[in-house]
Amino acid sequence: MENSIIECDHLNRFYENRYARVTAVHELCFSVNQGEFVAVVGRSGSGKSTLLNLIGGLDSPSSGSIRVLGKELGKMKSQELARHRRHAVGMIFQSFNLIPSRTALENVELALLFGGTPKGERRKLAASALDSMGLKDRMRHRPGELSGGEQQRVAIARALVNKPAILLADEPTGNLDSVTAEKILDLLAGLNRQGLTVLMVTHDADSVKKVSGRTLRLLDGRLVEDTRRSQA
Amino acid sequence: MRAFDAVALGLDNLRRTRLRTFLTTLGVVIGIGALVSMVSFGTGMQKNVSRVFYENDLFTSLIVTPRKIDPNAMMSGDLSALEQVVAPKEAALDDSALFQFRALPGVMMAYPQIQFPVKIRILGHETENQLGALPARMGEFPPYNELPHGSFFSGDGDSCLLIGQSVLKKMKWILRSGGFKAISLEDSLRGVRSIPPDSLIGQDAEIITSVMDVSSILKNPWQYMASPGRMPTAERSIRFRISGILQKTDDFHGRPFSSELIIPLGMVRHIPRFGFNNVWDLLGNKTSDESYGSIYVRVHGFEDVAPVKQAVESMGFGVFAISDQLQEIRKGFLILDTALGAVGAIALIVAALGIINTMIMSILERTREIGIMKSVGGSEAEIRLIFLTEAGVIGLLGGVFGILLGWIVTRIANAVANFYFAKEGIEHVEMFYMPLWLICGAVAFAIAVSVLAGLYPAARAAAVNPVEALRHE
Ligand SMILES: Nc1ncnc2c1ncn2[C@@H]1O[C@H](COP(=O)(O)OP(=O)(O)OP(=O)(O)O)[C@@H](O)[C@H]1O
Ligand SMILES: [Mg+2]
Repeated sequence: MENSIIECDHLNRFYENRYARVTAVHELCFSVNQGEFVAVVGRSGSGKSTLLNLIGGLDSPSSGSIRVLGKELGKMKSQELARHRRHAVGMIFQSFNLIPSRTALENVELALLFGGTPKGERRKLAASALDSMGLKDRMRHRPGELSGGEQQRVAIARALVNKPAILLADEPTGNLDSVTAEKILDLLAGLNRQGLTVLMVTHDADSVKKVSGRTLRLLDGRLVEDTRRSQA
Repeated sequence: MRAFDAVALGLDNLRRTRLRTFLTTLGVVIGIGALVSMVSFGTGMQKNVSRVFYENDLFTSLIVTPRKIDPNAMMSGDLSALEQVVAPKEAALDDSALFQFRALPGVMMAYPQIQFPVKIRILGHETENQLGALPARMGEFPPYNELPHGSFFSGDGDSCLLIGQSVLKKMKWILRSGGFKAISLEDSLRGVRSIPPDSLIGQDAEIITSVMDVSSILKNPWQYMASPGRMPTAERSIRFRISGILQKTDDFHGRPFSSELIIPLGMVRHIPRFGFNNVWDLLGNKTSDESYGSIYVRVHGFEDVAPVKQAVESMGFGVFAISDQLQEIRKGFLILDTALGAVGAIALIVAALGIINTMIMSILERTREIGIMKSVGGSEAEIRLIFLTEAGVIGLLGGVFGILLGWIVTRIANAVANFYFAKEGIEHVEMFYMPLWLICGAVAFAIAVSVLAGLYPAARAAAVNPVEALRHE
């Protein structure tokens, strides 16, 4: 049963100014099925982040189409895109992107705030999301008081608290030492086993081989390799 | 996002930058403080003036004159208005007119306004003043219902006299119960003496008028008919008892319709005086007792003014109602309030610029945070709402504390002003008035201005590109 959750068709994203035109993503055609763990690899500047931002609804395509959960993102209004970011996808980043002045719990709650979840329920959901990341004792700590690995787990809790179908991870282990990176990778693999579709950008293709079932390689914005392992 | 959450988030964000929030809010506080104290000065003045009107029942008073005079037309040089004055009278303002006025619905009382100069002598001291007459019923109304000393006369035929403190002052008397030590050195050098009010009440007062010395005219009538201006006079005196002392008058508490020396209306005809303008009147046996210079009409309520005025005018008389002037006075105060409000508004504009500046700064600082909010599902509208709420909270705080500041400032200004007023012998005046509408209006205005100032920064925040905001440093 092939159930494609992300479909890109001749997807382009270029940046223009008066002097030059930079193509960040060029004529991408691929689809991702529900429950896949996809590693997106490629050199710096090859367009990996741009692709993830397009799927995440933070950026809009210059041309071509991108469908997530059957809905065309390019046609969405800003209000619908916000809904998409809230419910369809969760995003984590290399630099964690937590609000430094707020506690772990408040950071996770923020994702529920925009959904309009009432305060009491917000607390409960955020706490249980952090609990499932093994951060029960660190909820009241601010990001500055947490280790890199802990911060990234707070970010994962935040990304998943709205129960999205897809997790978009842009080099989530880039700022972590190899042992911690391994742990985060295991965590993502575990989530993937529970049915979460994961797209993970990484420099280091080898380290993700054991968890990812598929590798997309970009070069100058083009898709140059798409390999699936038969047995993940 | 729920409105409550937006407010909570806004408050939280403001708390994070306490000093900056405090300084920005202080701008609004000063702006609103200035606005509120200025406008409350305007409303205070208006209230004081209106109070004088009410206290003296000017709103229910009409003055009827023999002919209709249009003062505006006369001012603008319309000679036909003057002609009306010079032209022979059609309706006489006499007793029959007086009874007609009394019969009109809505009229409480009507009596002729009589005033003529007399000499008064009390305990051997003499001065000259206008003598007025009032019906005994006026004792029911302010200011005559609350005399500081003694009481109003009870019957129109009583030989009682009310005296004002300005008349006493002309006689170099100052009302004091404390004896000589109650007088300042300056006053005592001028020969002012103190007199306890109790010793004046019940005291005899002589009213002295000049009358024509008829016997000397009869001796040589032709001489006086040739030059009617110079006539022989003789003094007549009639005794009254001082029954009460009138309130002190000052700039705020004038008594425009009556004099400082008042006798019962019924006593007027017992006072001998010139009842004519010249000797020809006397010979023609025409005395002006028959018609009056003006008649005071008091109506029951403000709503009676217009119909009574109309009825009296249709009889061919002129009517002057203070309430007509009130519109003009109100207009004047509106201009005053606007001018005062403008000063405060300028302060508030400066505060608004402060808000814009602070918020743009804070948005630049929080660009990444805005990007994060967008990435977790915050919409443009929600982010706009967060920043507008922050601006609104600044406005609310600024408004509330601004009113507090304005109140403190006006209290201090009032105390200082009254300190100097007291030195000048002016009685205590509340110069400022802060009605509920001003308080609510000022808070609403502060919020409105702040939210308006927050519109542009909020739009900028909503337009933040999340990709750029989140690109790692
Ligand atoms: N706002 C922009 N204006 C112009 N060019 C841009 C802009 N954003 C991205 N680019 C260009 O698009 C290309 C792809 O950028 P992107 O960030 O997607 O690369 P990446 O694969 O994520 O690189 P890295 O591994 O270093 O994160 C780059 O050449 C970059 O310079
Ligand atoms: Mg990147």
